[in-house]
Amino acid sequence: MPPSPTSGVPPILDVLDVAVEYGGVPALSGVSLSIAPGEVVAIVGPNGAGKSTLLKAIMRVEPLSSGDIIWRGNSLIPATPDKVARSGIAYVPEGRHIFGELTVEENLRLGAISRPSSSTDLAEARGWVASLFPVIAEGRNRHAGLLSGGQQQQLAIARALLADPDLLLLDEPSLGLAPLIIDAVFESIAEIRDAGTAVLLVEQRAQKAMEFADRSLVLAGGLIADRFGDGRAIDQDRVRAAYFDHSSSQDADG
Amino acid sequence: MIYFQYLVDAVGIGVLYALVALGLGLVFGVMRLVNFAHGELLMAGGYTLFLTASWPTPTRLAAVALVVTILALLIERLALRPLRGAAPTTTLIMTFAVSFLLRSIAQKKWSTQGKSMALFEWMARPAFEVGDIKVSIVTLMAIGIGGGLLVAVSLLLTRTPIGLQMRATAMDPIMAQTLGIRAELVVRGATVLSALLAAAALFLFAPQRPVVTPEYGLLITLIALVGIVVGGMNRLAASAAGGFAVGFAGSMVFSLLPRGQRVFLDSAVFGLVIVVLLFRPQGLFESMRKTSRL
Repeated sequence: MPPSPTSGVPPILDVLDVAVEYGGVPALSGVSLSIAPGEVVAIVGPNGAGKSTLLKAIMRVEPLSSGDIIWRGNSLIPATPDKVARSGIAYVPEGRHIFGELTVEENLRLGAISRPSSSTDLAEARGWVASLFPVIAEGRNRHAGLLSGGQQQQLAIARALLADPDLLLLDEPSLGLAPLIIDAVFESIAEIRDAGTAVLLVEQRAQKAMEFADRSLVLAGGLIADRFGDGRAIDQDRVRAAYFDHSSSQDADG
Repeated sequence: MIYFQYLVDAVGIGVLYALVALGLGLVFGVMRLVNFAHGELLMAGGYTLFLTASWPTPTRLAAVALVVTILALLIERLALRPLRGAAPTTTLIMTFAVSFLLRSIAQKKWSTQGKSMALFEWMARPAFEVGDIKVSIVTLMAIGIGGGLLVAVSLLLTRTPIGLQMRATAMDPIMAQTLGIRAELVVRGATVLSALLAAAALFLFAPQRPVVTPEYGLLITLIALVGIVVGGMNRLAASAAGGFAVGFAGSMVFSLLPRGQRVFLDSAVFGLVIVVLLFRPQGLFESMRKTSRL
């Protein structure tokens, strides 16, 4: 049963009992969650829990074996990834996946492809994005592959923001980054949230993500093992238990 | 001094194979399939030239461009799109089957006897002669027009939005889709572009090889395929360069081999290919950095 978002506003995204299989092996089994407009939801959990798979399922990069995903009132099942992008969901995958052989400028231009025509002026958006991520303004004609890991992460997020999304899917943005850079990245996510974009954040660094988010979910073994509200009140022992004891959650759900 | 002529001729042939290889590389990069039937576009263009021999030249060229483009779009729509997402070997076999089908149709209609394409035959004459060196007009045209086309396509790919989307799709097709790039649009664009490159290659091949048979495109495709493997399949520039290299090498070896030993041309060229791939399996012009795809 998906928990209603704390704000009481109808959710923009509803993941309903979603299951994904890879060659007969379940990666996600009956996952449900909702996101309200402007909310930051963190999904944490051990390696291989299915966190990336969940984002890929929303993006329609992975097909569902059962369940549904409702985005702004419409099912995403018949959509292809490009339709999902153009309907307001932006995706920053694990490992960033910027186009290394294209320049920073070209990467950004690709981000603006799914920008709705009703959005504010692109130049304005580019200015805002450049203020969030100075690396954008500095090295526009550099090949993106020459940037450092942290800079590439910033470029990937900047690129996603230029689509003016209502929901931003972030898969492990802190992976491989130095602590100072991670702080900078999270600061920018805060500004993104303040600008009204909902964020679904997948992270292995559970503590930071959970403190930051409005709500958190622990995904383990393809199932939601536990749910948490306001970040400040989170009991880390309970989180750890959810990571490692998901077998008992399976019994409880089943 | 004669080596200068060999060089110029080889550059002319190289540019032609670069055009064909670029068309193949475009389709491979954007659609992730090796189009074994690419040469049949040239064959179809050749028979179109045969059938329109009495028409004014500009109309003939337009007719060829139209026929070749429509054929390419039909093949994509009917044979390739239903296989989207299938294993690469499946699509390869499909293109092989399409190639076979088209060649059989041509054979049924026009037999294996060569038909004259009668295009720009005046081009096979020398443009200038200096002592032993004869540089034919068609070689100059191939280098000029072919080179110009390669530059034009390069500009299209690097300076236009659709070109940017094509390059992004070639590098990381799923990531490109998650950015909102419409796969069908990019695929159609790559199909049309590759067809027009094939038509241009035909116009420049025709003066030197003026007789079209059902097998006309087959060897050209093989050589161009070898070219894109040798050059590097993951970058369009590398594929075109590979096509150029194999065409150039083949022409040079042909010129340098004593007449009686020209039967060994294929062995020599493919022997070179084996050596190259043993030492640089990713392709001669491939960058060492591996692009990771989503």
